[in-house]
Amino acid sequence: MGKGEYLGEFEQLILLALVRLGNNAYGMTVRREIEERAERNVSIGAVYATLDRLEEKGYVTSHFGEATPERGGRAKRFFAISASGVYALNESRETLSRMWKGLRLGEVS
Amino acid sequence: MNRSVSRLSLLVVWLTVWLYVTREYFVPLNGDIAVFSLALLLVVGTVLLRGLLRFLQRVAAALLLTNLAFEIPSDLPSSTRDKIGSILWFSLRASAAFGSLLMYLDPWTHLKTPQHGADTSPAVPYSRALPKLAEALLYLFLNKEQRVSVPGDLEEEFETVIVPKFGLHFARFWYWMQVLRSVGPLLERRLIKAASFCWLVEYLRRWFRVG
Repeated sequence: MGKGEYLGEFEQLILLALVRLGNNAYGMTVRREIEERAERNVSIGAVYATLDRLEEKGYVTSHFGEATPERGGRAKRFFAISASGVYALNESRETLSRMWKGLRLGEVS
Repeated sequence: MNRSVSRLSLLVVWLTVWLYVTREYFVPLNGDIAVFSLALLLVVGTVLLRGLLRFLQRVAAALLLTNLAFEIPSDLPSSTRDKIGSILWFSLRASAAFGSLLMYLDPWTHLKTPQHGADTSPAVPYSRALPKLAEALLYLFLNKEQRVSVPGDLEEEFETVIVPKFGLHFARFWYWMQVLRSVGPLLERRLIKAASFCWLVEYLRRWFRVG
């Protein structure tokens, strides 16, 4: 992973939500998943801006699904994590693990 | 009904703007009949060739707004006849400017045609309670693809989660908060994209100049 390709914290949360939601990942479910699991109040705009950025980087793919009456007849846009997204997510976790390895916060002066 | 109204409004605004724009340039040359014919042609053309003329419509709107910004009538004529004429002329220009601003921002896009296989069945009751102003505000910061999905996501959550759980009043407040908090990230994203484009243009310009 080159410089500039590291995932930010919110990007990681979004990608993890996509993994958790599987085929049912679209804006509303992603937002609610983050709100419920990470206990973080996020706006739909922040979710979409980040998904847009991740799609541009090639970590996420999207397609339009069906429209339903409760959405005012508008279509859902489903998102899925790509292979490079999974790789980037793993890399981020390993980077953090390496940084945490052998470290106890009580020992930091 | 909504679509018919929006279409009619667009035609009226179009006619007003084009009468104004063409009057300045064509009246001295060809007279009123030419102006009217051209306006009619453009209106009919808009209906037939929506895509191309929509672009021209935005350019015209932008030009008109620029023109108005630099020419505010501060000295109304003394005689009553001229005064009335000036007021009428100013109101025409103001309405044309307002109309063109609306067209430029294009808040009716979502009403025109159902997109991506949209369901045309009647809306469920709560959708009428959505804060329309907040919805229109949100549209200003969304790109074409997001205009389908983002309001739909908000509306779905509004209908299925927030209203049943907290009631209509809180749901409307929640909707407004979602929109206001979304403006920052969406605007930032659009600005970054625009900046990248400007950078690319500048890079190419320099590259060609050096070449």
